[in-house]
Amino acid sequence: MARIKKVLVANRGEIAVRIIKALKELGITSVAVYSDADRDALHVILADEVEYIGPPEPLKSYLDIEKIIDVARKRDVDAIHPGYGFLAENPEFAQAVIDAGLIFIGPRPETIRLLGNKVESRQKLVDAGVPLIPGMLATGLSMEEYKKEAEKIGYPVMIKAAAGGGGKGMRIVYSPDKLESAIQAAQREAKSAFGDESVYIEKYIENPRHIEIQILGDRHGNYVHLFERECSIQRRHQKIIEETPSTALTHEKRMEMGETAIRVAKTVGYESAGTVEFLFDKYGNFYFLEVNTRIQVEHPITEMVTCRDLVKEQINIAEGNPISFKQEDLRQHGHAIECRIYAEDPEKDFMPSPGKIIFVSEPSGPGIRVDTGIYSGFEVPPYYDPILSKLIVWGRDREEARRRMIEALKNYVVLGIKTNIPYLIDILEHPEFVKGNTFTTFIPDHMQNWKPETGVPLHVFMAVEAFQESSSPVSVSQDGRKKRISDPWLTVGNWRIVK
Amino acid sequence: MKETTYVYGKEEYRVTSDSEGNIRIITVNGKRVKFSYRKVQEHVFLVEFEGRKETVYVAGERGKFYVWTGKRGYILEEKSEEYSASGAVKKEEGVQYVTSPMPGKVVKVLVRPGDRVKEGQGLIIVESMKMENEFTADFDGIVKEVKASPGDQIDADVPLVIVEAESRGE
Repeated sequence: MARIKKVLVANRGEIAVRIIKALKELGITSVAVYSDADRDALHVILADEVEYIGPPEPLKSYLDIEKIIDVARKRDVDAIHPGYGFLAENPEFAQAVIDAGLIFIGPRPETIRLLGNKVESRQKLVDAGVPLIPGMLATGLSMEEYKKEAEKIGYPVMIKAAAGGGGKGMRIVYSPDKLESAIQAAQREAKSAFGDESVYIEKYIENPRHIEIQILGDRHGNYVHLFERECSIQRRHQKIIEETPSTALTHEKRMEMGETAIRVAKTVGYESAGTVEFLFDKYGNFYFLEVNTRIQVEHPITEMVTCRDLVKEQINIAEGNPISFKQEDLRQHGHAIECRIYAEDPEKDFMPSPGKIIFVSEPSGPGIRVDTGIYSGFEVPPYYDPILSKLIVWGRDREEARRRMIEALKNYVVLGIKTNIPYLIDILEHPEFVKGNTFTTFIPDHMQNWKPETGVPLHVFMAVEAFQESSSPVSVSQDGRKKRISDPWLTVGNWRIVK
Repeated sequence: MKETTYVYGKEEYRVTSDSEGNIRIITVNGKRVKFSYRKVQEHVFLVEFEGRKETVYVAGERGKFYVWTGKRGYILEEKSEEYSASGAVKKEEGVQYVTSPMPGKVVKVLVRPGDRVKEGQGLIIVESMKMENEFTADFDGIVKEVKASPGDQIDADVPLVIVEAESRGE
């Protein structure tokens, strides 16, 4: 068992800050790395030690394995935490860390490699009895063979283009008599869109939800699951709102999914924190999608309802200790929701909006948590993911959490760049969201033609006039004439109270 | 009395402000309202009018004001002779100064000086935050100048391509 005393955080932004804070609480020395674009970033301000690693382009800094290992050696760290994104799911990196005689805070490299290879892991999981979306990747079958295949899978089925994407060459078929014409249409469409007419058949998932299970495993063969997170609210496959518990699960279904996730973990001998993702249909069937072999963006909602710290648990496991709690110790308390705050303009097709943040004021109060990478005066660089921070709330039930989130978003002030906050408020206020009808089609179904209210309210102009008046060193006196302000505090310069 | 025209998206607001003792008077597109305000903290204003109280957050730089009302954000620009609403198009009739609203890297320049372009045709692609954004021609015209090349790191609101309307000067 190796006691970890110093950790390099190979990441930036809010997750680097999150990890550094956990390290500080554990009394572990933190080392941050930064590119030219992140000289003044929050993770650099907070870390105990910092090391420059190169130009802003990720390939020359945060993705440069050699540079990061060099820093780890130079700073004499015991372990590296990769966060999410960048090198987190790169098995070569995990191996390089181990080869340098250091601890990789995450799963073993062979686990990352295996689960990254969808074909290889698929067979292993099928053998272990994990449900996958029924279907056949075989293409170029005869019409008879397609028909047999569809019968086997069960209607409705989805016809998909092998070269596919963007809905082209896709058809949903509800009954056998429609199959032949649908396949021919899909083939024509695939041919003209991709120059390849190959199509295959898959089970069509009705009213799909994205539900994932948080798991932990250690090297002593212990596995636990920390229940589910529902992440169905996605825009172009990017999650934007996550919650737990899911409104779709009964206690029995939750336990069944949790046990299935543990079966996946056991099958591959999973170590550290991971997430098993499923697609969940309206009949209560669930199908394995993939395993994310890292700490996830949305991990805080699990922390809020289980009262556990997943980053600290990762470190505990990386030291070689058993997981610090048992399955039967875990309960879900209340309800948690997370909103991802992105630097993007929802009024202009979500165009990125980097730039200088002039002023930030974060919400606070009971049950509110902000995991952030920004502050007033910070310049959001244009080189990286547009995620600025995450707003997480906890409530005794879903409705309390939802209302708390709306109030918190209204009090989250970010001036100087555009954010998706107004868009998030409108999703949370949508009647279908209130009802818990959160399917992965929520955004295309309900938010496609989203437009903010038009017109500027009068008090906006009042405040802008007030701002200009108060920021010029001239005030208007009672008689309407302008005069210089002579407040001594404005001219005193730096001062402090000495007694 | 002070008079300003603010631009919000495609909308324009003519605003005059005045005061009678401690009471301010604002006229927005002809609608006249009395109000008072208190600055409670840097960027934070309490505005009272017609029996209502609103908390408004404001920051500003160079004629551009960022406002949060507790539900919506607004970016207002003071209308000046040089730039109009989007900042992308100069006020000058029939000339488009293509700019990126955010800093980034030029990935591809799709036109050359002298090219004829159609309305909506792509002119230049800028990458920012791992997304590619294409900027297009506002009208049929001729590319007058290209001021950026692939690989350039560019700032926000700096002209990259200049397009002149077809009919202009004929």
